[in-house]
Amino acid sequence: MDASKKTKIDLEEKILTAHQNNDGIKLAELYAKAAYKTSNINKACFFMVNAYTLALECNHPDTLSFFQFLQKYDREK
Amino acid sequence: MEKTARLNQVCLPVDEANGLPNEHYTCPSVFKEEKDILLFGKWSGLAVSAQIPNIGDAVPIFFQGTPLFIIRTKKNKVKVFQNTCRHRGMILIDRVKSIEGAIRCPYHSWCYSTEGSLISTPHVGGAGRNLHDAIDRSELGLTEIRSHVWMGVIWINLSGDAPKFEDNMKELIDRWSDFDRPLFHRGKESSFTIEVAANWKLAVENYCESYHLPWVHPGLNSYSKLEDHYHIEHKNKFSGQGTTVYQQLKGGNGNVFPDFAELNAKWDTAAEYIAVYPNVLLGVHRDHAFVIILIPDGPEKTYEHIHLFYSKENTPKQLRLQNMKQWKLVFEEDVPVVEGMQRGRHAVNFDGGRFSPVMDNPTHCFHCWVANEVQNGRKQKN
Repeated sequence: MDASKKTKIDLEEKILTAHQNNDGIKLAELYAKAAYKTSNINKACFFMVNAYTLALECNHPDTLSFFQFLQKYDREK
Repeated sequence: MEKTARLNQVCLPVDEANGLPNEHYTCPSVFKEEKDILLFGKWSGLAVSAQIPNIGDAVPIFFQGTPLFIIRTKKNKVKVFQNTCRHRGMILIDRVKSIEGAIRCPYHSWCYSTEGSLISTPHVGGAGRNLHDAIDRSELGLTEIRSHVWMGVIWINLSGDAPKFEDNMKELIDRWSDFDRPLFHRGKESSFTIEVAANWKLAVENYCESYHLPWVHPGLNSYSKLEDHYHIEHKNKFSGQGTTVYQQLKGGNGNVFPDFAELNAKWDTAAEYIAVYPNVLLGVHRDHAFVIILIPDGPEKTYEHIHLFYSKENTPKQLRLQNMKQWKLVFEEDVPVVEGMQRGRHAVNFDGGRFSPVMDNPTHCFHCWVANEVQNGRKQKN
């Protein structure tokens, strides 16, 4: 298995674990990480929407930067 | 006798009137009618603001089947919202919680600010797209319920068309202006609930009058005798009773609660107990106040949520517990008579009863309000 695929699987597992633990802060950070890792804009925005939503809920300090990411691609205002 | 004629009979002068007919205490359809007209159409007590002391605190409450939540917003305002997402109607707040940031719907994650604005609509325009021309967030904020905080109570008007609370209750707000100051609630040491197998109106009626004191509250009557009481009546709004011989509770070492600041000398020995129609019973004394919020659960069951308030944040715990015990005893003494009246309302030949023309005036005032409002509500519906 190549390194990038393993990293992706690791990230997915961490996201699932955070979902199970209902850990909004961790989830927001992991989704943001997933967004920053992909060069596909649509995939990145999908992950960033999740990151931003959870960040809004838990008042995460990076909420504004997540918002700006989405705003840049005309996905949020 | 026709329904209208029987209700007209209620509004005759007190020495001629009969009380409300039995169906107002036992019939599910009349209960629903009164719920719409009296509880949703007027300013009803929902909760106390002390239930949400900190910014972000949110408490879900079903009020007569309607899902609501109370919240202390980021701007430190108490607000009441319908507890449903504007998307698919999902319940938003399912337990007592502290909102750190936004209120996120657990279904599709639409997010609202604590002030009620819709601030994000995840994937609403497709994966990764939070925007769509058809979704105008400015029109899709949470449904706010008209609310007002007074005497520590969160009052709501679900129909949205009652006169402003301050205008509607001006006479009582003025009467009790001495108590219009911070009231301190002490959580579990300040609250308890009594379940009563009776229609909510019977709790109001019993509270309004002092006539029953010698028989039902012999302890109170030992110092606060019947002749020391006076009626309080304001047609269509509130009624109750006052006493001129209030004595402060004393602890084992003779300590008392501190008084509210700058009280009129009248309150040195006076105390007043007023039922604010429809469902809030209030009591004020020089050193503490209480509220009882009556929450009906069908025509024949009521929860009495009792909250005690003090003039200062820090008061002796032992004295507070003693005070709570004393009031609990008094309110529990009322339960058998209120439940007894409820059982009596199943007597097919009971005609609503008569009133003492001298002692029952505040109770008659309440009956008359109910009768008038129900008649007006029926007219508007037809």
